[in-house]
Amino acid sequence: MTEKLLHEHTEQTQAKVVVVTSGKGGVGKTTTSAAFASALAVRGYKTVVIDFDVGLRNLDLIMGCERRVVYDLLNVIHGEGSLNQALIKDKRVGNLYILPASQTRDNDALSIEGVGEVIAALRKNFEYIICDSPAGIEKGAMTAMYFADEALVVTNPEISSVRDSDRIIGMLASKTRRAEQNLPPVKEHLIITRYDPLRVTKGDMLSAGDVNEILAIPFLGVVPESKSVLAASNSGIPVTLADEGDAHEAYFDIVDRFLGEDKPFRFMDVPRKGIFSRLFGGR
Amino acid sequence: MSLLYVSLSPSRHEYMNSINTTFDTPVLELKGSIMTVIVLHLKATDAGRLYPQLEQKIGKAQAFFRNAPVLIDLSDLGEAEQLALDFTELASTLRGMGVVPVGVRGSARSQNERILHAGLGLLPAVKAERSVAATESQPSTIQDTTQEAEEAKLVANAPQQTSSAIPTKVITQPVRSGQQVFAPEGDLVILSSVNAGAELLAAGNIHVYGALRGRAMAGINGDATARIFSLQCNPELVAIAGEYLVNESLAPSCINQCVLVSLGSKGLQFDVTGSFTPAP
Repeated sequence: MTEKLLHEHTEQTQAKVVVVTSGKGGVGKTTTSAAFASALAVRGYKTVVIDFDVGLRNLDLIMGCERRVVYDLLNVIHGEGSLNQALIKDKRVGNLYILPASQTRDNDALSIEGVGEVIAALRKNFEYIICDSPAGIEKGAMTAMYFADEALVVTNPEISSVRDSDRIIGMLASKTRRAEQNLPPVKEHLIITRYDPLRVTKGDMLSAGDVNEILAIPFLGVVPESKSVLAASNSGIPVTLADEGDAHEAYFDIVDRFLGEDKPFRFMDVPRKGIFSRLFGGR
Repeated sequence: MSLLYVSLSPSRHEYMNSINTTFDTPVLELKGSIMTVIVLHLKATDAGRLYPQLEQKIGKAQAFFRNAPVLIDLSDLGEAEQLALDFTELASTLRGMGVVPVGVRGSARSQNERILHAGLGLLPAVKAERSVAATESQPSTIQDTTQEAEEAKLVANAPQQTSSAIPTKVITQPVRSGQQVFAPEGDLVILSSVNAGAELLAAGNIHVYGALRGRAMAGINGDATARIFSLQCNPELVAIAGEYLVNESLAPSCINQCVLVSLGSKGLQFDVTGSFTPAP
């Protein structure tokens, strides 16, 4: 059944390169990359997720495959290993692969041409190529976004994160292959992570509406601040492959909206407390 | 010799006629007005070099300079050099080239009579040309380079220039942090928002049909009549012809309102015209 589904998808759609980017560090790019790629794979799409954070690689930890890394992205670019040798197949979901980054080099070792060849090769075999961008606006981030067809802009509801995302959105429109070759622009999507509706009502956090007004790109949804995210990351399980939870459901909603489904937005308001929690306190 | 666009502080040579049908009401009004004129800076008065160079500079772009009022600036010349200059000859040469010399500024007191005799007006020397002394982006240097660029462009375009309309630059996308939009000649219209960390520069007016959260500098070549308009005004910095204000010094009453910024006699003036919330 899965095989059949997979085949149909391959026939219908062209491979899409999706960059997960934010500008600011620590907002949840790698968590989102892992969760998003896993959810796409669960939905039946053949997906590969590439770690572009050379020198500070984390994706393999979040995906729980750090003990299986032999070759990495830079080995492939420099011809020290083949792409098939470097790709790590996920043990939980059949059509999910990871291409890890090198920990012993730095971002300067990435070349646009080399990455272009790797992505061109991956396009033949995958439906979705998720690029986990490093923070900042230096070479690593620029290389990660260069070949993108679509972009997930990950933002926390605070002003410095929003401003950095704004800068990145500007670069997506000017510094990518699509911009340079006058192709249709990179399709941007906004994801707000670590969202806490209670703190929004208190005025400690920007609301999703505020962030949307400033960034003005299509909104995929919020991921609520959740303890299960940290727990899942530390045990090497992407949130979308972990047991149920708010963040788990939020990421699946986001993936479904990304795939074109019309789902009502959730986790945006303070949850109403039941009679017992109101009587005995605690959340 | 160089061309410079400068704003003249309230000048005394513009008359505004207002026609009235009532018998007793005055039929004229005297008003000061700030405007942009071309200034001819003289660096030497040696006729053998001055007139050929003048011919070379203006002659090429006569269509552009035709009937343009020109102010002669002598601030770079010493008294002895000014004495060597024949103002009547200079004025008639300029008129012969199709431009209209209106006055002289920066002249030595001893020369004033000769200048008046040549049919030219006298203006006081400018103390310092206005420039924005903003923190990091140093708009004064930007101003300088743009003036040079514009000069070259204007001169190059001049012979073909038939219509007097200056193109307006229209941007439909949000202007984001780190982006700079520059309208070196005319107005700038943004049909979206300008985010914090973005910068707008225009020789003319700036219109923002959305929220203005970044920097906006209008009249960068010294046009003090330029205005800045935004539907939701919360800029980091606004400047008109070099006069600027940072967000901290804006009146709280105009923050996030529809605001028209203009340059009045007491500096930047903010007129609130209503309030508006741009759709997300």
